[in-house]
Amino acid sequence: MIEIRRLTKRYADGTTAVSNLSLTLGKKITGILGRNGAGKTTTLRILSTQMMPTSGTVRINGLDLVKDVDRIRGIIASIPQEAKVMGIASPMEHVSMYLNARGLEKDEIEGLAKGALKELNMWQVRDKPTADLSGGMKRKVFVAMAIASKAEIIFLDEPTTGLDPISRLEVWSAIKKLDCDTVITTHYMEEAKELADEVVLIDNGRCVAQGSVPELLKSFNGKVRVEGPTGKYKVGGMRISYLSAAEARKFVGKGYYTRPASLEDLLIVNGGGAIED
Amino acid sequence: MRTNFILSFMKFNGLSWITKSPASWIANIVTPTCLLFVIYVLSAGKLMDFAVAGGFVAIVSTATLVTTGESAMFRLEFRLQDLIIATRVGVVEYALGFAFASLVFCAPGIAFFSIISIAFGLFSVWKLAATFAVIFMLALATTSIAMLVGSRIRRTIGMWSISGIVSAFMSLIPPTFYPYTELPKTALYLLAISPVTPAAVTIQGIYGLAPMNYYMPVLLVLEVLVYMAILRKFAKWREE
Repeated sequence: MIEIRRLTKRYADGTTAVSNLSLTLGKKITGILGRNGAGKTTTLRILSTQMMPTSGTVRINGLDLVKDVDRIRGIIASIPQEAKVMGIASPMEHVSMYLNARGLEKDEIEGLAKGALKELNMWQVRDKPTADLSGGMKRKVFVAMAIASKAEIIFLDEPTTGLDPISRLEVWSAIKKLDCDTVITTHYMEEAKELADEVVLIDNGRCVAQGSVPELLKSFNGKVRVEGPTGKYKVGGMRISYLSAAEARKFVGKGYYTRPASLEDLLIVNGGGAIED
Repeated sequence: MRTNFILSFMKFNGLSWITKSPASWIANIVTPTCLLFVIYVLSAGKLMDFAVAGGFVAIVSTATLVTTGESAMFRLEFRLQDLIIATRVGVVEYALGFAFASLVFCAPGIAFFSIISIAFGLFSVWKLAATFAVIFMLALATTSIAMLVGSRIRRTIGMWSISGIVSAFMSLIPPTFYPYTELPKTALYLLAISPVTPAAVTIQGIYGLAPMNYYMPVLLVLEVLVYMAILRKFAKWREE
């Protein structure tokens, strides 16, 4: 259970990345969604003790993020968004080094690393220098670290960015099997839909919506998305409106397209799309 | 102290290079060996003993001071430091991991200069053992300084330049390849702020190339403790 109360992060240059954020995260898999710069990564970096908050409190499984930092570090694992492998070292060496950093016992480490690398279909390349692996394989090295970590809470910042569809399925399958709470940030709507028991939508460092995917989509009240030359929301060169099925039908065949509302639309109506006059 | 982490980081960032990249075998031998040649030509062979003894110090100081750029790269570019921060490993253990990895990386160079020292008649078991003790302390002190500076580098642009500047000031100016007795005392004590100076002076004493200055080994040990304490206190670890 993660309890965030009035969390704020202001950088030295005055930018506010997270603003007065209050949340309770208690589901098995929580997905944090938001645009680039919405504050997802900053929030995750604070929760995983990499960054100090400017103000506010966070309690992770009852432990205070500032006062009990050492104990929290004993129960979490965190994989940064832009983590890169060190090319000369193998996947096995990466995972072993990380598990040693987490303080696991030597005889335990080999089994955990083996299990994680097999789960992600990386066992054949376990001793290869990671420089010789594909981009997707390199990313999976970090997912293997998290899977093998035996942490109570795992933070994954965009774990499947750059993966091919099959590798993504492998990672999803591995995440679903994890016997711990997981918080992931993602840009992929289908990932949040597939994995998350609960979704938190962040924009401008604030929580704009929280709930399960079906609960959040209820806010559209059966309305469908209509794309075309006019519409309430502007996304790039596209105009979008949300209309009842009956109203939407009037636009069909006149240069407009309709589709059911999805998580992507939640982003659009919650700050992702500029509102047209 | 997470010894297992330090050893696994040594394998990760040191042994990996030695076992998988043959070029790394000669990488840290090249500069001191070239200097050996230059010193031989310029001094008509008279300062060769200093160049051989200084070679040990140069290999270790150069490899460990590279940690300035390397640790900045691990933090800013690879984001591996973020992985480590979110564990119970502290900055001093992380620095020790770098120090041991650098020592492993230096192993071929140290072996090479050990052979050279036999060729120049400088070798004895106790001298070599004392030399190893000195370069071990040197590695701890210089890595602490390198990590401290590296942790303060804010952008990837320029991180290797800063690393080069630190390395040049701390390892080339001290009396690594020339008799420390050539320096005015004030200059010697000023240069002693770099652990390379007490290490080089001690090694010159061990090999009987210059009078043993007994303050210097003590200073080296003190510098290890002081620079590690400074690292622990002032290195940027959890981002503010």
